Amino acid sequence: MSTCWEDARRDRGPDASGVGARDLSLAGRRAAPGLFGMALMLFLAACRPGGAPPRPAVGKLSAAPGPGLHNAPGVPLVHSLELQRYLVEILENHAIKRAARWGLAFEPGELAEELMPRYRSVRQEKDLDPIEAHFNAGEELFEAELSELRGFGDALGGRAPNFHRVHRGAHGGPDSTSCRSCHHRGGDDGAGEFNEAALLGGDGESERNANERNPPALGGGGAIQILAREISTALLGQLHSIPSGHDYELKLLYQEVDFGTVRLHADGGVDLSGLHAIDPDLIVRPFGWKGTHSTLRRFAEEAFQVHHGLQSAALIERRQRSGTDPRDASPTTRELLNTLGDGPPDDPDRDEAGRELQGANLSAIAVYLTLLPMPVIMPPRAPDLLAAWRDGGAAFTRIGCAGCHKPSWFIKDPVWIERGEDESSRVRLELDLRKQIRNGPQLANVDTTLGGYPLFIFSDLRRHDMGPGLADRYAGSAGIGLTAGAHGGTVKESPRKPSIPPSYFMTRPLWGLAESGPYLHDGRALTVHDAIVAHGGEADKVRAAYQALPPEQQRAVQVFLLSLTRLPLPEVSP
Amino acid sequence: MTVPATGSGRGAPAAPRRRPWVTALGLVLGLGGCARPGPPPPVEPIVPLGDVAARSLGPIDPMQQAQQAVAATLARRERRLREAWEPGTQWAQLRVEQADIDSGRVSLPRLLEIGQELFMLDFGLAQGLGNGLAEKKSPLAGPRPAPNLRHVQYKLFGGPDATRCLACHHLGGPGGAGFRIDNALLDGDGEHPRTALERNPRALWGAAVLGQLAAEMTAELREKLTAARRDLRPGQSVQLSAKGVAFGFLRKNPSGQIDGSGVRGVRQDLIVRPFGWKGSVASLRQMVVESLQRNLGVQAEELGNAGPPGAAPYGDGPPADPDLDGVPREATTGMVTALTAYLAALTLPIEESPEPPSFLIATARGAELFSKLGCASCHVPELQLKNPVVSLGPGPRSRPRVDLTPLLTSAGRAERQATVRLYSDLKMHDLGEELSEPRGYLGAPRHLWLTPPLWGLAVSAPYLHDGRAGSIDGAIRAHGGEAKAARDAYAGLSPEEGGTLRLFLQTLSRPARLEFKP
Repeated sequence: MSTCWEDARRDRGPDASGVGARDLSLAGRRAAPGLFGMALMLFLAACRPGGAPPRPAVGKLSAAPGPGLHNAPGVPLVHSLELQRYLVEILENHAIKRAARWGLAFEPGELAEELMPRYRSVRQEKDLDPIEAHFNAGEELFEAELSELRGFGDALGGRAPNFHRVHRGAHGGPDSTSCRSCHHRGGDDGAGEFNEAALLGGDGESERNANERNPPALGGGGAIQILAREISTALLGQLHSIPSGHDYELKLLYQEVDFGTVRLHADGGVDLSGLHAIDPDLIVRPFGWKGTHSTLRRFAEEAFQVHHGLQSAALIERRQRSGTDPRDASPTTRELLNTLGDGPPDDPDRDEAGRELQGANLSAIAVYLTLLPMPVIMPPRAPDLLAAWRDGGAAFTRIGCAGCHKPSWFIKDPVWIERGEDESSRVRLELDLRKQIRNGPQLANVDTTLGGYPLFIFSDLRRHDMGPGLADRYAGSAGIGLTAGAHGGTVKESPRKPSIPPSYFMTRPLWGLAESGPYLHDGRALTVHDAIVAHGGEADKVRAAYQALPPEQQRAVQVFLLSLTRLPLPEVSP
Repeated sequence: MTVPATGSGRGAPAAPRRRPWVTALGLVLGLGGCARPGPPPPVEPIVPLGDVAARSLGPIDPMQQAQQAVAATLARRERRLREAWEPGTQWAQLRVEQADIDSGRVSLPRLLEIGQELFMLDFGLAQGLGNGLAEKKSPLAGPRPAPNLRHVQYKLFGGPDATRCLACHHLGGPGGAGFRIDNALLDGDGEHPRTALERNPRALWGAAVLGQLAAEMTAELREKLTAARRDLRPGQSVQLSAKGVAFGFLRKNPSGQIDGSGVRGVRQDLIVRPFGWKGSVASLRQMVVESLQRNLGVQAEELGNAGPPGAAPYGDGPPADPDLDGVPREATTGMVTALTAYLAALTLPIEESPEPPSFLIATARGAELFSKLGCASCHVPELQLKNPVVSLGPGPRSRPRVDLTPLLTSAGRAERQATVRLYSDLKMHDLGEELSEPRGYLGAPRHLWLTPPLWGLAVSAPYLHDGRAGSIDGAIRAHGGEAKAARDAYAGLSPEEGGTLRLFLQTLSRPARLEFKP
């Protein structure tokens, strides 16, 4: 089956007869009971904007817009999902959820049991494979009203759950009662609204003393997680391949992205000062606006802590084992370990619940997030808009946006192994993004000459200085300690340096951009144009180049960017 | 019968007129209904949004719904691209003028489409979002450049704290309720959440029906007031009630004055206000106008500027652009009408029938308990709507004038006197100390709350005015004050009986649909 992307690249002059014939044949199918025909029609409606009949793509590659996109014909930007199957699945899912709602109303005590699957209960669902079971449990956790769970929030200097719209340092709120409450814009697992921005690292009192964070859309994280791991592995491989014993300067490059230089001295010393946009441990951390986590598992663990006050057993045990400053922990994890609370070792947040999240819960949410669908590119249908879209894509590369918002990467091994840290999550889950992504495009390597699975994320996964205009108001929450004070916990600054400077941010992947407004880390930009002109620092020149474009070209760039979207799959509401 | 034009009910915003709780009753009649002569516009049946016949997904072809949803989304996305390419062209189509609605140039279905778009649209600077008051160092607004968004509102000026209506009203579908994180932080200092009153966004379905029920109750109460003035002898008193809901009593003093100190559950102006958690607004239209200002900083033409000179509540700028963002007439009267009409057309909630027979029996048992325990004495299951014809425009002679009956029949309950199963008495009650706030709001005392309608309850968690209850059980247990007896009765139920009651409440839901969450 052809993809939208292929269609979009084709020359598609108006072809009335073709449209008519197609409509007719579909109408015939519609009358017949063949539901798959309707699925096909729905798919075509969604996927074939111009309505022109499919034609072989010949000699049109050079006309393709978009930086580097033409190098990857047939990219899996739109999938050939069987919508009928999809509909059956979501309707069934809806019926199950409704029945569960009724059941829970009847016996509320079951809630905790169901949402907190111990490893045993996950395995007991014999009909399901373990990945399915984890995905379902993850979805349930994602959508659940978490305030009903034991351990929600904290009792540090206040009565549990001790809500704080403005976070108390790195400890967090709690500020919300479910994952989905901030990730629903543009569809399930989407972005958040301006009013749902988290107020990170604050003093618990004033919205002006906090760093505003717009909730990003979550789809496609699984592929980014794999890509980040492959980059790190490659860079470390380059480092380790250097023969020792003499001075050597290594330029760290991966898929044409420059991560700076490492100098090795003959005496075995290593100089990392030439590293660019990556942490000294060469771990790529693509998650979080500032690039703070390398895996969805740890990302979710932090989110549960700062947004819901649900503390993971892994964190608590780690602190018991190796204190608040384990050498192998990322700076963000160290901050978290420092701010869990001053309660007893097994219940730092004093809410009389310990080990609030088991390894199995983290595995469930990690599997869920890994298998969420990737965004797609859907070019406009009207001929004039389509022309603008082509121009815009070309301009995007020409003026240098693509320098950081690197359109495409390849990943070599599309399998992610999810594995937990405790007894409850010791099962090894192999998540194959070639066939296990839910309701969206699977990773596919349609061109065997490419030597990998193309991924159109529009990010270089590096950190950049975005200039003083975009810098966080506060230097970061590093080293803020939390103790139980009389009024909701007091926050005290410690002299530690922030791990990431205020003006540095991870290049935001632009895929799915159209459904993720408002833009930038704090949601300050209401339009794509506003977002572009707010760029500073390392992006100064490109920003100036954009502003120097004639207005029409600027608008063309916006049209191109707004075609980065999600599959238009309907969802059951409510 | 249309909503009577009264001081704080509509026209002027209720906000700046901090009406004291005790008001001279004499004023009320003087301000009451002064409709102009002339033929009213024709009545059109409302077109319920979403599938009219949809009691659940069952009987409808899901494929067809999915297809419609896909088509609608693709069209919306195309319009978005068009707007990027030719800025202003799509926006211009949404800036509808009341004159065009009144003349019939904009039909009701088109008006509803426009309203739906306006509800879902992200407002931007060009659309009048927010304010440019920071440059003037206005005490009303925050310190940022326009649109000057923030999270904590300042007094009655507001935020702005959101970029679109849908941002906070999306649970259970567009026009629904909001999550706890969506809570508005009302009437604060503009910076510290602790200084504000937390309000969980309420579901908006059935708003026009609520408005009309309230207007009919207001009229009934006022008739009784007129009769009391005329017929009571000094020292005599008379019970007040509307649609079977008791509102205390009126008494004539020996001096011949009417004494309203016995009035309960409604302010002494006897206007039933069904909107806002503390019953602060009487008309849907007024609610739209105030929300546009407080949440989006979008100033409607009809917002008014009722404060004393020099203390303008809605901005320090000139009358044409009080919030100084360079956009005059941010929301035209026609746009407010479109939004009002859209909300009026949202399909009403339904009462589901759980499939397993054991659940059906349990639900029936739960409904019985709901009455028996006393829940139903405030959450009155149904009220009768006398006149389903309402005006949604700015005045009684503007369009559209719609018949709400199709909404009620789509829920399968059309009688000659339409029955509205809303589970509320539209009355204010004392809910006890635990639910009280540190201070009152807009003249309503700190401990009084309007009985929220329970329709659609299952899809509008979290519960209570600040969303503190994540479950129905938690919400019931938080009741105090006048509801203490019912709460205690609930707490005394056996686990199974409690289960049937909660199950019954979980059947108050919305028809499932396939749609996009834009």
